[in-house]
Amino acid sequence: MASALVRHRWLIYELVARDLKSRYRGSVIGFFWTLLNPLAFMGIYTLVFSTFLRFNIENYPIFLLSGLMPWLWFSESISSGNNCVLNGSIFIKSSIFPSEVLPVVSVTSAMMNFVFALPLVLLFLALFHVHLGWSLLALPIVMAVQFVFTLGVVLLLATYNVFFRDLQQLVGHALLALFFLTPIFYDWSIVPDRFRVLLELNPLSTLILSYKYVLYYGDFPHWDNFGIVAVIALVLFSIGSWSFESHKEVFAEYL
Amino acid sequence: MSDAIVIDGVCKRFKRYQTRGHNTLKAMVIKGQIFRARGTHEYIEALKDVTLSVPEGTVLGIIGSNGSGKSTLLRVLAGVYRPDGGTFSVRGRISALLSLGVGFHPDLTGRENVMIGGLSLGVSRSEIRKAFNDIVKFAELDDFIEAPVRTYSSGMYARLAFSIAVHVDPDVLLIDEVLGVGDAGFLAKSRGRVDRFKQQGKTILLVTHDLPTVESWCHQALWLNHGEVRAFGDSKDVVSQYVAHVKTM
Repeated sequence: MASALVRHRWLIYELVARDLKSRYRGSVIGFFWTLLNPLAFMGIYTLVFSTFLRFNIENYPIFLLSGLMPWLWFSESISSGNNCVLNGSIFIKSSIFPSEVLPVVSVTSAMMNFVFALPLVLLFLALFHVHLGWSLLALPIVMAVQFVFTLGVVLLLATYNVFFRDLQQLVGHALLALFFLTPIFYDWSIVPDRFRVLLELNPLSTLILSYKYVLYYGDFPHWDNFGIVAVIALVLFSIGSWSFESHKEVFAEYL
Repeated sequence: MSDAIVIDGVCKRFKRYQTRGHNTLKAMVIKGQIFRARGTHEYIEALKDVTLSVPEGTVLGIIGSNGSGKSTLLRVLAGVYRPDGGTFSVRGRISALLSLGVGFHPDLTGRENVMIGGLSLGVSRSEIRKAFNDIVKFAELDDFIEAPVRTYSSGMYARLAFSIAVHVDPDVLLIDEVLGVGDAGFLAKSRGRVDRFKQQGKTILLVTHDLPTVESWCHQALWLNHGEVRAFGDSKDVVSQYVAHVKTM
Protein backbone atom coordinates (compact mmCIF):
# COMPACT_ATOMS: atom_id res chain seq x y z
CA MET A 1 0.00 0.00 0.00
CA ALA A 2 2.60 2.52 1.11
CA SER A 3 4.84 1.85 -1.88
CA ALA A 4 1.89 2.23 -4.25
CA LEU A 5 1.15 5.61 -2.70
CA VAL A 6 4.70 6.79 -3.24
CA ARG A 7 4.63 5.57 -6.82
CA HIS A 8 1.39 7.39 -7.51
CA ARG A 9 2.21 10.55 -5.57
CA TRP A 10 1.73 12.80 -8.59
CA LEU A 11 -1.59 11.24 -9.41
CA ILE A 12 -2.64 11.92 -5.81
CA TYR A 13 -1.35 15.46 -6.13
CA GLU A 14 -3.32 16.07 -9.33
CA LEU A 15 -6.51 14.58 -7.91
CA VAL A 16 -6.26 16.62 -4.70
CA ALA A 17 -5.62 19.80 -6.69
CA ARG A 18 -8.63 19.00 -8.85
CA ASP A 19 -10.74 18.38 -5.73
CA LEU A 20 -9.80 21.68 -4.16
CA LYS A 21 -10.32 23.59 -7.39
CA SER A 22 -13.67 22.04 -8.16
CA ARG A 23 -15.01 22.44 -4.64
CA TYR A 24 -15.59 26.13 -5.04
CA ARG A 25 -15.78 26.28 -8.81
CA GLY A 26 -18.61 28.56 -9.78
CA SER A 27 -18.82 30.30 -6.42
CA VAL A 28 -18.07 34.01 -6.26
CA ILE A 29 -15.70 34.18 -3.30
CA GLY A 30 -14.22 30.78 -4.05
CA PHE A 31 -11.27 29.89 -1.88
CA PHE A 32 -12.36 32.19 0.95
CA TRP A 33 -15.08 29.70 1.87
CA THR A 34 -12.28 27.60 3.31
CA LEU A 35 -11.80 30.35 5.87
CA LEU A 36 -15.40 31.45 6.18
CA ASN A 37 -16.83 28.01 6.93
CA PRO A 38 -14.99 27.52 10.23
CA LEU A 39 -15.67 31.15 11.15
CA ALA A 40 -19.39 30.65 10.62
CA PHE A 41 -19.31 27.54 12.79
CA MET A 42 -17.34 29.42 15.40
CA GLY A 43 -19.86 32.26 15.47
CA ILE A 44 -22.87 29.97 15.87
CA TYR A 45 -21.32 27.76 18.53
CA THR A 46 -19.97 30.68 20.49
CA LEU A 47 -23.40 32.28 20.51
CA VAL A 48 -25.14 29.09 21.64
CA PHE A 49 -22.67 27.66 24.11
CA SER A 50 -20.86 30.65 25.44
CA THR A 51 -23.68 33.21 25.43
CA PHE A 52 -26.89 31.18 25.75
CA LEU A 53 -25.75 28.15 27.71
CA ARG A 54 -22.93 30.03 29.48
CA PHE A 55 -20.19 27.46 29.36
CA ASN A 56 -17.63 28.89 31.70
CA ILE A 57 -14.68 28.56 29.38
CA GLU A 58 -12.14 31.26 28.85
CA ASN A 59 -11.57 32.32 25.24
CA TYR A 60 -14.35 30.05 24.09
CA PRO A 61 -13.92 30.81 20.35
CA ILE A 62 -10.35 29.53 20.50
CA PHE A 63 -11.30 26.59 22.67
CA LEU A 64 -13.90 25.66 20.11
CA LEU A 65 -11.86 26.36 16.99
CA SER A 66 -8.91 24.26 18.16
CA GLY A 67 -11.17 21.22 18.40
CA LEU A 68 -13.53 22.00 15.57
CA MET A 69 -10.91 22.37 12.84
CA PRO A 70 -9.51 18.84 13.23
CA TRP A 71 -13.07 17.53 13.60
CA LEU A 72 -14.06 19.09 10.28
CA TRP A 73 -11.04 17.47 8.68
CA PHE A 74 -12.06 14.11 10.12
CA SER A 75 -15.75 14.31 9.25
CA GLU A 76 -15.12 15.63 5.74
CA SER A 77 -12.64 12.81 5.12
CA ILE A 78 -15.14 10.23 6.31
CA SER A 79 -18.11 11.52 4.35
CA SER A 80 -16.22 11.93 1.10
CA GLY A 81 -13.96 8.92 1.63
CA ASN A 82 -16.90 6.64 2.29
CA ASN A 83 -18.05 7.22 -1.29
CA CYS A 84 -14.69 7.59 -2.95
CA VAL A 85 -14.74 4.23 -4.71
CA LEU A 86 -18.34 4.71 -5.85
CA ASN A 87 -17.59 8.20 -7.13
CA GLY A 88 -14.44 7.01 -8.81
CA SER A 89 -16.29 4.29 -10.70
CA ILE A 90 -15.63 6.07 -14.02
CA PHE A 91 -11.92 5.58 -13.51
CA ILE A 92 -12.07 2.12 -11.99
CA LYS A 93 -14.43 0.52 -14.47
CA SER A 94 -13.17 1.78 -17.75
CA SER A 95 -9.46 2.23 -17.50
CA ILE A 96 -6.29 1.08 -15.88
CA PHE A 97 -6.44 2.93 -12.60
CA PRO A 98 -4.84 2.45 -9.17
CA SER A 99 -7.96 2.67 -7.01
CA GLU A 100 -5.97 2.80 -3.76
CA VAL A 101 -5.18 6.45 -4.39
CA LEU A 102 -8.85 7.45 -3.98
CA PRO A 103 -9.10 7.11 -0.16
CA VAL A 104 -5.82 8.99 0.21
CA VAL A 105 -7.15 11.76 -2.00
CA SER A 106 -10.26 12.13 0.19
CA VAL A 107 -8.28 12.42 3.40
CA THR A 108 -5.67 14.72 1.88
CA SER A 109 -8.18 17.11 0.31
CA ALA A 110 -9.95 17.49 3.65
CA MET A 111 -6.58 18.00 5.34
CA MET A 112 -5.70 20.80 2.94
CA ASN A 113 -8.72 22.75 4.13
CA PHE A 114 -7.41 22.38 7.66
CA VAL A 115 -3.94 23.49 6.57
CA PHE A 116 -5.25 26.52 4.68
CA ALA A 117 -7.32 27.62 7.67
CA LEU A 118 -4.42 27.15 10.09
CA PRO A 119 -2.99 30.68 9.64
CA LEU A 120 -6.43 31.98 10.54
CA VAL A 121 -6.43 29.94 13.74
CA LEU A 122 -2.97 31.20 14.61
CA LEU A 123 -4.12 34.76 13.99
CA PHE A 124 -7.00 34.23 16.40
CA LEU A 125 -4.63 32.76 18.95
CA ALA A 126 -2.58 35.93 18.73
CA LEU A 127 -5.67 38.15 18.99
CA PHE A 128 -6.87 36.37 22.11
CA HIS A 129 -3.37 36.43 23.56
CA VAL A 130 -3.29 32.69 23.99
CA HIS A 131 0.08 31.47 25.08
CA LEU A 132 1.96 29.98 22.12
CA GLY A 133 5.07 28.05 22.79
CA TRP A 134 7.28 25.20 21.75
CA SER A 135 4.28 22.92 21.99
CA LEU A 136 3.30 24.13 18.53
CA LEU A 137 6.06 21.85 17.28
CA ALA A 138 3.91 18.90 18.30
CA LEU A 139 1.21 19.93 15.84
CA PRO A 140 2.66 18.08 12.82
CA ILE A 141 2.96 14.92 14.92
CA VAL A 142 -0.66 15.13 16.02
CA MET A 143 -1.67 15.77 12.41
CA ALA A 144 0.33 12.79 11.18
CA VAL A 145 -1.40 10.48 13.63
CA GLN A 146 -4.78 11.89 12.68
CA PHE A 147 -3.96 11.32 9.01
CA VAL A 148 -3.10 7.67 9.53
CA PHE A 149 -6.07 7.11 11.83
CA THR A 150 -8.53 8.73 9.41
CA LEU A 151 -7.08 6.94 6.40
CA GLY A 152 -7.50 3.63 8.18
CA VAL A 153 -11.19 4.30 8.82
CA VAL A 154 -11.71 5.61 5.27
CA LEU A 155 -10.07 2.54 3.71
CA LEU A 156 -12.43 0.27 5.65
CA LEU A 157 -15.53 2.30 4.85
CA ALA A 158 -14.66 2.80 1.18
CA THR A 159 -14.15 -0.95 0.75
CA TYR A 160 -17.31 -2.16 2.42
CA ASN A 161 -19.52 0.62 1.10
CA VAL A 162 -19.12 -0.94 -2.34
CA PHE A 163 -20.83 -4.12 -1.14
CA PHE A 164 -23.15 -2.74 1.55
CA ARG A 165 -24.43 0.62 0.46
CA ASP A 166 -26.28 0.86 3.77
CA LEU A 167 -23.03 2.24 5.14
CA GLN A 168 -23.81 5.50 3.37
CA GLN A 169 -26.79 6.04 5.66
CA LEU A 170 -25.11 4.70 8.78
CA VAL A 171 -22.06 6.89 8.47
CA GLY A 172 -24.12 10.08 8.64
CA HIS A 173 -25.63 9.02 11.96
CA ALA A 174 -22.34 7.75 13.29
CA LEU A 175 -20.67 11.07 12.54
CA LEU A 176 -23.40 12.99 14.32
CA ALA A 177 -23.14 10.75 17.38
CA LEU A 178 -19.37 10.98 17.36
CA PHE A 179 -19.50 14.76 17.17
CA PHE A 180 -21.42 14.90 20.43
CA LEU A 181 -19.44 12.12 22.10
CA THR A 182 -16.15 13.87 21.49
CA PRO A 183 -15.18 16.86 23.63
CA ILE A 184 -15.11 19.38 20.79
CA PHE A 185 -17.41 22.17 21.92
CA TYR A 186 -17.57 21.24 25.60
CA ASP A 187 -14.93 20.49 28.15
CA TRP A 188 -14.05 17.02 29.30
CA SER A 189 -14.68 18.06 32.92
CA ILE A 190 -18.45 18.65 32.52
CA VAL A 191 -19.07 14.99 31.71
CA PRO A 192 -20.24 13.05 34.82
CA ASP A 193 -17.65 10.57 36.08
CA ARG A 194 -19.58 7.44 35.25
CA PHE A 195 -19.86 8.45 31.57
CA ARG A 196 -16.24 9.45 31.13
CA VAL A 197 -15.36 5.97 30.03
CA LEU A 198 -17.32 6.70 26.84
CA LEU A 199 -14.91 9.50 26.06
CA GLU A 200 -11.88 7.56 27.13
CA LEU A 201 -12.73 4.71 24.81
CA ASN A 202 -13.03 7.10 21.87
CA PRO A 203 -9.62 7.58 20.25
CA LEU A 204 -10.91 10.73 18.60
CA SER A 205 -11.28 12.31 22.06
CA THR A 206 -7.58 11.91 22.70
CA LEU A 207 -6.78 13.34 19.27
CA ILE A 208 -9.02 16.38 19.70
CA LEU A 209 -7.72 16.94 23.23
CA SER A 210 -4.17 16.82 21.87
CA TYR A 211 -5.03 19.68 19.52
CA LYS A 212 -6.52 21.59 22.43
CA TYR A 213 -3.38 21.08 24.48
CA VAL A 214 -1.24 22.37 21.65
CA LEU A 215 -3.39 25.24 20.41
CA TYR A 216 -5.45 26.29 23.40
CA TYR A 217 -3.48 25.42 26.52
CA GLY A 218 -0.08 25.97 24.90
CA ASP A 219 1.07 22.64 26.25
CA PHE A 220 2.28 19.33 24.89
CA PRO A 221 -0.19 16.47 24.40
CA HIS A 222 -0.29 13.75 27.04
CA TRP A 223 2.11 11.41 25.34
CA ASP A 224 0.97 8.22 27.06
CA ASN A 225 -2.63 8.52 25.83
CA PHE A 226 -1.43 9.90 22.54
CA GLY A 227 0.90 6.95 22.07
CA ILE A 228 -2.01 4.54 22.48
CA VAL A 229 -3.94 6.42 19.80
CA ALA A 230 -0.92 6.30 17.50
CA VAL A 231 -0.83 2.52 17.90
CA ILE A 232 -4.58 2.30 17.26
CA ALA A 233 -4.08 4.43 14.15
CA LEU A 234 -1.42 2.10 12.80
CA VAL A 235 -3.52 -0.99 13.51
CA LEU A 236 -6.55 0.58 11.82
CA PHE A 237 -4.44 1.54 8.84
CA SER A 238 -3.09 -1.99 8.53
CA ILE A 239 -6.54 -3.55 8.69
CA GLY A 240 -7.92 -0.91 6.34
CA SER A 241 -5.26 -1.33 3.70
CA TRP A 242 -5.46 -5.10 3.94
CA SER A 243 -9.20 -5.11 3.33
CA PHE A 244 -8.94 -2.55 0.54
CA GLU A 245 -6.15 -4.43 -1.19
CA SER A 246 -7.93 -7.75 -0.97
CA HIS A 247 -11.16 -6.37 -2.45
CA LYS A 248 -10.04 -3.77 -4.95
CA GLU A 249 -9.85 -6.16 -7.86
CA VAL A 250 -13.54 -6.99 -7.60
CA PHE A 251 -14.70 -3.38 -7.27
CA ALA A 252 -15.23 -3.11 -11.03
CA GLU A 253 -17.85 -5.86 -10.92
CA TYR A 254 -19.91 -4.18 -8.22
CA LEU A 255 -19.85 -0.62 -9.53
CA MET B 1 11.21 -13.84 -29.87
CA SER B 2 9.82 -13.76 -26.34
CA ASP B 3 6.19 -13.57 -25.37
CA ALA B 4 4.62 -10.24 -24.49
CA ILE B 5 1.49 -11.81 -23.06
CA VAL B 6 1.10 -15.22 -21.48
CA ILE B 7 -2.37 -16.34 -20.46
CA ASP B 8 -2.64 -19.62 -18.63
CA GLY B 9 -6.01 -21.17 -17.88
CA VAL B 10 -7.76 -17.89 -17.16
CA CYS B 11 -11.40 -18.19 -16.02
CA LYS B 12 -13.81 -15.41 -15.27
CA ARG B 13 -17.39 -15.76 -14.19
CA PHE B 14 -20.09 -13.31 -13.30
CA LYS B 15 -23.06 -13.74 -11.03
CA ARG B 16 -26.19 -14.03 -13.04
CA TYR B 17 -29.20 -12.71 -11.16
CA GLN B 18 -27.46 -9.75 -9.80
CA THR B 19 -29.16 -6.41 -9.83
CA ARG B 20 -26.42 -3.86 -9.49
CA GLY B 21 -24.33 -6.35 -7.63
CA HIS B 22 -25.92 -6.40 -4.21
CA ASN B 23 -29.09 -7.45 -2.46
CA THR B 24 -31.52 -5.39 -0.50
CA LEU B 25 -33.43 -6.71 2.47
CA LYS B 26 -36.66 -5.84 0.65
CA ALA B 27 -35.72 -7.90 -2.38
CA MET B 28 -34.63 -10.78 -0.20
CA VAL B 29 -37.96 -10.80 1.66
CA ILE B 30 -40.03 -10.47 -1.50
CA LYS B 31 -38.25 -13.24 -3.34
CA GLY B 32 -38.11 -15.38 -0.21
CA GLN B 33 -34.40 -15.44 -0.61
CA ILE B 34 -33.84 -14.57 2.99
CA PHE B 35 -34.15 -18.26 3.83
CA ARG B 36 -31.87 -19.32 1.05
CA ALA B 37 -28.23 -19.78 1.83
CA ARG B 38 -25.95 -17.18 0.41
CA GLY B 39 -23.67 -18.07 -2.45
CA THR B 40 -26.18 -20.10 -4.44
CA HIS B 41 -26.07 -17.73 -7.37
CA GLU B 42 -26.00 -18.94 -10.89
CA TYR B 43 -22.89 -17.99 -12.75
CA ILE B 44 -22.14 -17.05 -16.29
CA GLU B 45 -18.79 -18.32 -17.42
CA ALA B 46 -17.43 -15.37 -19.35
CA LEU B 47 -14.02 -16.93 -19.85
CA LYS B 48 -13.38 -20.66 -19.60
CA ASP B 49 -9.83 -21.88 -19.26
CA VAL B 50 -8.32 -19.51 -21.81
CA THR B 51 -4.71 -20.37 -22.55
CA LEU B 52 -2.54 -18.69 -25.14
CA SER B 53 0.64 -16.72 -25.52
CA VAL B 54 1.21 -13.75 -27.75
CA PRO B 55 4.77 -13.13 -28.98
CA GLU B 56 6.16 -9.61 -28.86
CA GLY B 57 5.28 -7.55 -31.90
CA THR B 58 2.20 -9.54 -32.76
CA VAL B 59 -1.01 -7.89 -33.85
CA LEU B 60 -3.78 -10.13 -32.58
CA GLY B 61 -7.38 -9.72 -33.70
CA ILE B 62 -9.99 -11.08 -31.29
CA ILE B 63 -13.26 -12.09 -32.89
CA GLY B 64 -16.42 -13.85 -31.86
CA SER B 65 -20.13 -13.20 -31.46
CA ASN B 66 -21.51 -10.79 -28.87
CA GLY B 67 -21.08 -12.05 -25.34
CA SER B 68 -18.28 -14.40 -26.24
CA GLY B 69 -15.88 -12.88 -23.72
CA LYS B 70 -13.76 -10.67 -25.98
CA SER B 71 -14.13 -7.51 -23.91
CA THR B 72 -13.85 -9.44 -20.66
CA LEU B 73 -10.51 -10.84 -21.80
CA LEU B 74 -9.17 -7.34 -22.51
CA ARG B 75 -10.44 -6.12 -19.16
CA VAL B 76 -8.75 -8.95 -17.34
CA LEU B 77 -5.48 -8.15 -19.12
CA ALA B 78 -5.88 -4.46 -18.26
CA GLY B 79 -6.36 -5.36 -14.60
CA VAL B 80 -9.95 -4.12 -14.37
CA TYR B 81 -11.26 -7.60 -13.52
CA ARG B 82 -9.56 -10.22 -11.43
CA PRO B 83 -9.68 -13.67 -13.01
CA ASP B 84 -11.41 -16.36 -10.93
CA GLY B 85 -8.83 -18.89 -11.98
CA GLY B 86 -5.60 -19.15 -13.88
CA THR B 87 -2.79 -16.66 -14.27
CA PHE B 88 -1.59 -14.19 -16.83
CA SER B 89 1.32 -11.86 -17.31
CA VAL B 90 1.83 -8.86 -19.53
CA ARG B 91 5.32 -7.55 -20.19
CA GLY B 92 5.87 -3.81 -20.43
CA ARG B 93 3.60 -0.80 -20.18
CA ILE B 94 -0.02 -1.39 -21.12
CA SER B 95 -2.28 1.19 -22.63
CA ALA B 96 -5.92 0.39 -23.17
CA LEU B 97 -8.93 1.70 -24.99
CA LEU B 98 -11.75 -0.25 -23.43
CA SER B 99 -15.34 -0.11 -24.58
CA LEU B 100 -18.20 1.43 -22.63
CA GLY B 101 -16.68 4.86 -22.42
CA VAL B 102 -13.21 5.79 -21.43
CA GLY B 103 -12.12 6.78 -17.97
CA PHE B 104 -12.72 10.49 -18.19
CA HIS B 105 -14.19 12.49 -15.41
CA PRO B 106 -16.96 14.62 -16.96
CA ASP B 107 -16.43 17.65 -14.73
CA LEU B 108 -12.73 17.92 -15.34
CA THR B 109 -11.24 19.72 -18.27
CA GLY B 110 -9.59 17.86 -21.09
CA ARG B 111 -6.22 19.00 -19.80
CA GLU B 112 -6.87 17.63 -16.30
CA ASN B 113 -8.12 14.36 -17.75
CA VAL B 114 -5.03 14.00 -19.90
CA MET B 115 -2.85 14.45 -16.82
CA ILE B 116 -4.85 12.06 -14.63
CA GLY B 117 -5.31 9.50 -17.40
CA GLY B 118 -1.61 9.51 -18.22
CA LEU B 119 -0.50 9.30 -14.59
CA SER B 120 -2.80 6.40 -13.86
CA LEU B 121 -1.26 4.50 -16.79
CA GLY B 122 2.06 4.94 -15.02
CA VAL B 123 3.50 7.69 -17.19
CA SER B 124 5.60 10.34 -15.49
CA ARG B 125 4.48 13.96 -15.28
CA SER B 126 7.31 15.23 -17.43
CA GLU B 127 6.54 12.69 -20.15
CA ILE B 128 2.90 13.78 -20.17
CA ARG B 129 3.88 17.45 -20.32
CA LYS B 130 6.18 16.68 -23.21
CA ALA B 131 3.52 14.79 -25.10
CA PHE B 132 0.70 17.16 -24.16
CA ASN B 133 0.74 19.32 -27.26
CA ASP B 134 0.94 16.30 -29.51
CA ILE B 135 -2.01 14.73 -27.73
CA VAL B 136 -4.15 17.83 -28.20
CA LYS B 137 -3.08 18.28 -31.78
CA PHE B 138 -3.72 14.67 -32.70
CA ALA B 139 -7.16 14.80 -31.06
CA GLU B 140 -7.95 18.01 -32.98
CA LEU B 141 -9.28 19.64 -29.83
CA ASP B 142 -7.54 23.05 -29.84
CA ASP B 143 -9.23 25.35 -27.31
CA PHE B 144 -11.63 22.67 -26.14
CA ILE B 145 -8.86 21.09 -24.12
CA GLU B 146 -9.58 23.70 -21.40
CA ALA B 147 -13.33 22.90 -21.33
CA PRO B 148 -14.93 20.23 -19.11
CA VAL B 149 -15.13 16.90 -20.86
CA ARG B 150 -18.91 16.77 -20.38
CA THR B 151 -19.21 19.53 -22.98
CA TYR B 152 -17.45 17.40 -25.59
CA SER B 153 -19.20 15.72 -28.48
CA SER B 154 -18.86 11.94 -28.56
CA GLY B 155 -16.37 12.26 -31.40
CA MET B 156 -14.18 14.66 -29.44
CA TYR B 157 -14.36 12.37 -26.44
CA ALA B 158 -13.26 9.36 -28.42
CA ARG B 159 -10.53 11.27 -30.23
CA LEU B 160 -9.02 12.46 -26.96
CA ALA B 161 -9.16 8.96 -25.48
CA PHE B 162 -7.48 7.50 -28.51
CA SER B 163 -4.88 10.21 -28.57
CA ILE B 164 -3.90 9.64 -24.92
CA ALA B 165 -3.71 5.90 -25.36
CA VAL B 166 -1.34 6.09 -28.31
CA HIS B 167 0.84 8.91 -26.97
CA VAL B 168 1.92 7.27 -23.73
CA ASP B 169 4.39 5.06 -25.59
CA PRO B 170 2.91 1.69 -24.61
CA ASP B 171 4.54 -1.67 -25.20
CA VAL B 172 1.18 -3.38 -25.32
CA LEU B 173 -1.91 -1.70 -26.70
CA LEU B 174 -5.39 -3.09 -26.00
CA ILE B 175 -8.12 -1.73 -28.27
CA ASP B 176 -11.76 -2.63 -27.88
CA GLU B 177 -13.90 -1.80 -30.90
CA VAL B 178 -13.15 1.87 -30.71
CA LEU B 179 -11.41 2.33 -34.04
CA GLY B 180 -14.78 2.96 -35.62
CA VAL B 181 -15.33 6.25 -33.83
CA GLY B 182 -14.70 9.66 -35.25
CA ASP B 183 -15.14 10.80 -38.82
CA ALA B 184 -13.47 9.32 -41.86
CA GLY B 185 -10.51 11.67 -41.56
CA PHE B 186 -9.80 10.70 -37.97
CA LEU B 187 -10.34 7.05 -38.75
CA ALA B 188 -7.65 7.17 -41.40
CA LYS B 189 -5.34 9.03 -39.06
CA SER B 190 -5.88 6.66 -36.15
CA ARG B 191 -5.35 3.64 -38.38
CA GLY B 192 -2.14 5.20 -39.58
CA ARG B 193 -1.05 5.63 -36.01
CA VAL B 194 -1.82 2.06 -35.01
CA ASP B 195 -0.07 0.95 -38.20
CA ARG B 196 3.04 2.75 -37.03
CA PHE B 197 2.86 0.87 -33.73
CA LYS B 198 2.71 -2.32 -35.74
CA GLN B 199 5.80 -1.32 -37.68
CA GLN B 200 7.59 -0.41 -34.46
CA GLY B 201 7.03 -3.98 -33.33
CA LYS B 202 4.60 -3.29 -30.50
CA THR B 203 2.08 -5.84 -29.37
CA ILE B 204 -1.50 -4.95 -30.21
CA LEU B 205 -4.70 -6.73 -29.18
CA LEU B 206 -7.70 -5.61 -31.16
CA VAL B 207 -11.29 -6.62 -30.42
CA THR B 208 -13.40 -6.03 -33.49
CA HIS B 209 -16.21 -7.27 -35.69
CA ASP B 210 -14.46 -5.98 -38.77
CA LEU B 211 -13.34 -9.30 -40.26
CA PRO B 212 -11.59 -7.91 -43.36
CA THR B 213 -9.35 -5.82 -41.10
CA VAL B 214 -8.46 -8.86 -39.02
CA GLU B 215 -7.71 -10.88 -42.12
CA SER B 216 -5.56 -8.33 -43.85
CA TRP B 217 -3.98 -6.45 -40.99
CA CYS B 218 -3.58 -8.78 -38.01
CA HIS B 219 -0.88 -11.41 -37.86
CA GLN B 220 -2.90 -13.72 -35.73
CA ALA B 221 -6.49 -14.07 -34.67
CA LEU B 222 -8.28 -15.51 -31.67
CA TRP B 223 -11.83 -16.74 -31.98
CA LEU B 224 -13.70 -16.85 -28.71
CA ASN B 225 -17.00 -18.66 -28.43
CA HIS B 226 -18.94 -18.66 -25.14
CA GLY B 227 -15.77 -17.85 -23.30
CA GLU B 228 -13.73 -20.63 -24.83
CA VAL B 229 -10.93 -20.51 -27.35
CA ARG B 230 -12.43 -21.93 -30.54
CA ALA B 231 -9.47 -21.19 -32.75
CA PHE B 232 -6.16 -19.43 -32.41
CA GLY B 233 -3.51 -18.97 -35.07
CA ASP B 234 -2.96 -17.41 -38.46
CA SER B 235 -5.56 -14.70 -38.95
CA LYS B 236 -6.77 -15.87 -42.38
CA ASP B 237 -7.37 -19.41 -41.15
CA VAL B 238 -9.19 -18.31 -38.02
CA VAL B 239 -11.40 -15.84 -39.88
CA SER B 240 -12.36 -18.40 -42.50
CA GLN B 241 -13.25 -20.92 -39.79
CA TYR B 242 -15.32 -18.28 -38.04
CA VAL B 243 -17.11 -17.27 -41.25
CA ALA B 244 -17.85 -20.91 -42.04
CA HIS B 245 -19.27 -21.38 -38.54
CA VAL B 246 -21.46 -18.28 -38.77
CA LYS B 247 -22.90 -19.46 -42.10
CA THR B 248 -24.04 -22.73 -40.60
CA MET B 249 -26.08 -20.96 -37.96
